[in-house]
Amino acid sequence: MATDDRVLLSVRNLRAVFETDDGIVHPVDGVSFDVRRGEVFGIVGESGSGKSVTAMTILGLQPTLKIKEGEILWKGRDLLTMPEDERRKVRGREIAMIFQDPLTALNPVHTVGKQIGEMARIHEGLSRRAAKERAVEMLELVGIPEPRKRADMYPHEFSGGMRQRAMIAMAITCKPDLLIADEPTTALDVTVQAQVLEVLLAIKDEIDSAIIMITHDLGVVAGMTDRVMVMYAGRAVETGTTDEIFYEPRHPYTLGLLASLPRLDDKGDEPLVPIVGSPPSLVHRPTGCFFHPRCRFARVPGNCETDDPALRLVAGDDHMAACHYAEELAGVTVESLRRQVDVTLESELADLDEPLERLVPDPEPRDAAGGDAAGETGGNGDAVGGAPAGPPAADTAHDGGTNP
Amino acid sequence: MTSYIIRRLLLIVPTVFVALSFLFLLFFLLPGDPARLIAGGAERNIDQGVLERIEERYGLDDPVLVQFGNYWKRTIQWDLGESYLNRRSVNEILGDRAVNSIRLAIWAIIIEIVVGISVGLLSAIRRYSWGDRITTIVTAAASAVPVFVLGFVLQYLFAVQPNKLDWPEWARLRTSGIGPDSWTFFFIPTGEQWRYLILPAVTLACVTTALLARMTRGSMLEVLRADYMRTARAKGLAERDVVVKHGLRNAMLPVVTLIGIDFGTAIGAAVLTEFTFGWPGLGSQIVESVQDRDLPVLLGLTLAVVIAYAVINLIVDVSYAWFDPRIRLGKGEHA
Amino acid sequence: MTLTDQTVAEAGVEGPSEATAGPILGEARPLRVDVWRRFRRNKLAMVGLGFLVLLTLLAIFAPLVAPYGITERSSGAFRQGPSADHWFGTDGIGRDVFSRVIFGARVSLRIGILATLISLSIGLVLGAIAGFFGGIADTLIMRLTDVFLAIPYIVLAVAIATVFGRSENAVILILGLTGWLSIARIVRASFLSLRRMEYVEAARALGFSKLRIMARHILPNALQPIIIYGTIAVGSVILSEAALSFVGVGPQEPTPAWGLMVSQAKGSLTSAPHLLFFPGGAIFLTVLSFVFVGDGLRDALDPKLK
Repeated sequence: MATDDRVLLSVRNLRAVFETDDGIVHPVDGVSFDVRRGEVFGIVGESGSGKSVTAMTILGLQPTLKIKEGEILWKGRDLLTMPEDERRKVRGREIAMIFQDPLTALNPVHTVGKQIGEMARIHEGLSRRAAKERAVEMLELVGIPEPRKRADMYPHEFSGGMRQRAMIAMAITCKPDLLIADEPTTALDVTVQAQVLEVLLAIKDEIDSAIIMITHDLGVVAGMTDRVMVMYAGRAVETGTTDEIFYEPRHPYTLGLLASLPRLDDKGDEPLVPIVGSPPSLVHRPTGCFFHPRCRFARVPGNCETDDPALRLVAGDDHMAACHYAEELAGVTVESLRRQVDVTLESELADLDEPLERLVPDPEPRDAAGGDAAGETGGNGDAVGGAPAGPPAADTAHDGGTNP
Repeated sequence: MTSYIIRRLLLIVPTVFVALSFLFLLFFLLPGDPARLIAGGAERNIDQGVLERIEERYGLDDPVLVQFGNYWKRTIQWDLGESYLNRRSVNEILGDRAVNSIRLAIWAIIIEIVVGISVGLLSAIRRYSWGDRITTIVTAAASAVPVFVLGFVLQYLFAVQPNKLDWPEWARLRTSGIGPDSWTFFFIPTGEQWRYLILPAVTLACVTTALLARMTRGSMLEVLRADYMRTARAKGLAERDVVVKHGLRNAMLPVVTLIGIDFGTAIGAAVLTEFTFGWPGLGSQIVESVQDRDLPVLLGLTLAVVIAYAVINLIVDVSYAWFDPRIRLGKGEHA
Repeated sequence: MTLTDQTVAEAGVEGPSEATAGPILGEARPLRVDVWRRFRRNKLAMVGLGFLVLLTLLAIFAPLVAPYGITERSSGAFRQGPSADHWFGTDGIGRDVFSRVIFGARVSLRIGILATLISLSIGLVLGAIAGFFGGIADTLIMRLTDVFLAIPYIVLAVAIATVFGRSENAVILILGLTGWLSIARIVRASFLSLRRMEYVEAARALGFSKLRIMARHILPNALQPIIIYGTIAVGSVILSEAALSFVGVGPQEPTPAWGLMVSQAKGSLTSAPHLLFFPGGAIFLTVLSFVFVGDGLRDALDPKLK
């Protein structure tokens, strides 16, 4: 795969730790993935799953983090062993980052224009005046009205959505090959979220870059990404194309995330299925499969409790999952899971060790969860005019997980 | 902005009025007869007729309120009177002394800003290093040492010892007085002048330098954790530029406020420093005037200091608005 | 933060500020045990506390510890350096410096603690009134602090000292009467933020008297910054006392005030530097100890402030 010349970024077996008073934390524990030119790669997971840390590690923005092993190949060169001043030239120019909260991520004491122009000044050596012009150009590109006037304003004078647009403008100033967007819309109003995502996608085509989209919002993933990696407790538990992840999930965690996601076509009679329990401590992790204490399909006692499942190819040529019983999940859909849970709702809270065999594969065409979520998010930009439709509130996947 | 400044300047007036009135009335209660002082000393036996003439001339036998009224009538016209002691005009004394104080203060401020801020910054960047630990202890120590004790210790180490141990001439500093009083560009010492300047300047700077270093360190530690610093790194800025271009100005916000508030303490330190080193500035003159009960000089000098204090606070506030664009002067502000 | 409301920033200099005090207030107060455990881990604070305990014991048992009286003169031994007989040497008229420094601890601690108590009381009452009632009372009290802050502290203290005389008690009164400004501002800031807390609203809704609400519901939560500030204030009062003594308006001879002893050493820097170092060192170590203990208390009471 590394020989594929469309591969821009190749993270190989990345393992990093934080040392804290309570013990060693493993926020990223053996993660591998590739990002190819022009694609949108999603990284999904609950907070604490290691998705943000993974992104920070690519840019080297986690000073307290210790990289234990692995490599981050950028256009074939390992960023981790690259001298700092060369790596700095990659930052911003070749790989740029869009942060979650644009209010705190923008410097309050400099004008927006100056902060955007700074990018061009560092990497292209532009003069102050030329940098300012570039900033105005960039603000216009991301759809900010009166860009010349806005460039002289300070972040606190911008609205949330405009700030995030400014943040995007800053990131794309040097036309980077890769944009890393870390929860780019989480801090924004629902109506603004879709606009910002649209801007991001339009920009991607305009400057022909790849995007890593880090989010806990499955709606965002469905609407934007080409391929997805699902992370849990510092590991990748499932990777594949967006369609594969949404229509043919092969990991119980992915399935759980999808089942806990309410959809707009819900008739109101399908229950949402929370993922029980809370994410594991990253210091004292469970034995065997890290997900087994929360897994509806876990075989306890059995190898789920004792053996750590490796991420392996389960279908197609790129669909991988880290579950001992991935093949047996082949026919399980969100609907069947929900139906099953509905039937056993009374007993399920008491008896979480649901035998996998009792879940019958569903013959229905799988057009629900992913498809609609994707369609909905895509259409969201038009829905601004007061229609009640928002993107699927995938937040509940997260909330359901942490607060059963 | 302009209306804000005007409003603040107007606010200074009542504050100065009440403060000075308080001091005037307080000193009126001072034991001792000013007439005797004017006549040449409290101890000398002075002819009663002379005393009466003096009292009449200075209006010292008028009721308190009349004297009080007269005092303000003259003060408003910036007629600060003349010294009871030597008949010199207070304006003249004020001018002479203020120049010396300002020269000393300029050097102290240079030391404070250069040393205080850079030590604080380095300490924050290299948190938990040995340098940081030493800085923490030294700055705490500097805030605990009395100004005059520090002054004497410095005199002992850099002026007394070098003479005793016969150090080379260039290493010997002077302990007291202003020396040849030779300057260029108003504040740059020429010739031997620096030998007289350096110890009081360091002494005066010490407390505020320590405070600045502590504040800068704390504030910078906060700033280093800020999201926008991460953004700056993500842009590909070198760490030094991240700190200087994005961190410093944010870290200075609370420090700027502090400088204004601390000015009162700095005046106290200036009084003690000038007194310790016999530096002929406002501070040492104030102490002498208190001891001599030379009311016009004391009130005149205090008036100048109080006004300077208020104006400096105003400048600090205005510069704060420059440092932090989120602050809009005059808006949402109720005093 | 509005520009005139610099109280907050000021509180931040000397103790906790309104902003940082905010989040703590909602929480359960840390157990005394917890505070002590955290305090004990701070080496500097423990050293400071140890020194203060030693100093207090020395002050209490000064007559037993000091080998000589404070006015006792050794004939012929003027300005002698440290020796077995006179650990800290002798002063200009042959008195034992060690004994005088020991007895001086009484003067400094007494002045420091009593003056701080006076300023704390005044500051607490005025700050509480200003913060709780607001309006005219607040404006008046804050204007008053503005006026007094406008007069350089040392000028004010020296002026009052000149009028009220130069005894130890006068110094206590002066320092107590001039030291309440910052405390009032800190207390006001705490009360301002606390009176809007829900439990205070609840107490008000239940019809408790204002005095009871202030004393029972707000004060305990506002105590933390006051304790921290008070500790550091004792140190700075001792510094101010030394400064007053130094310029000649503190306690007079033969009171063994440290500041006075330093000022008398002024003329003999060349021949007898020990006259400067020992009392000067005593002031320094005492004030430093209060600073360390105050810092330690702050960190222990509120680990988040670190």
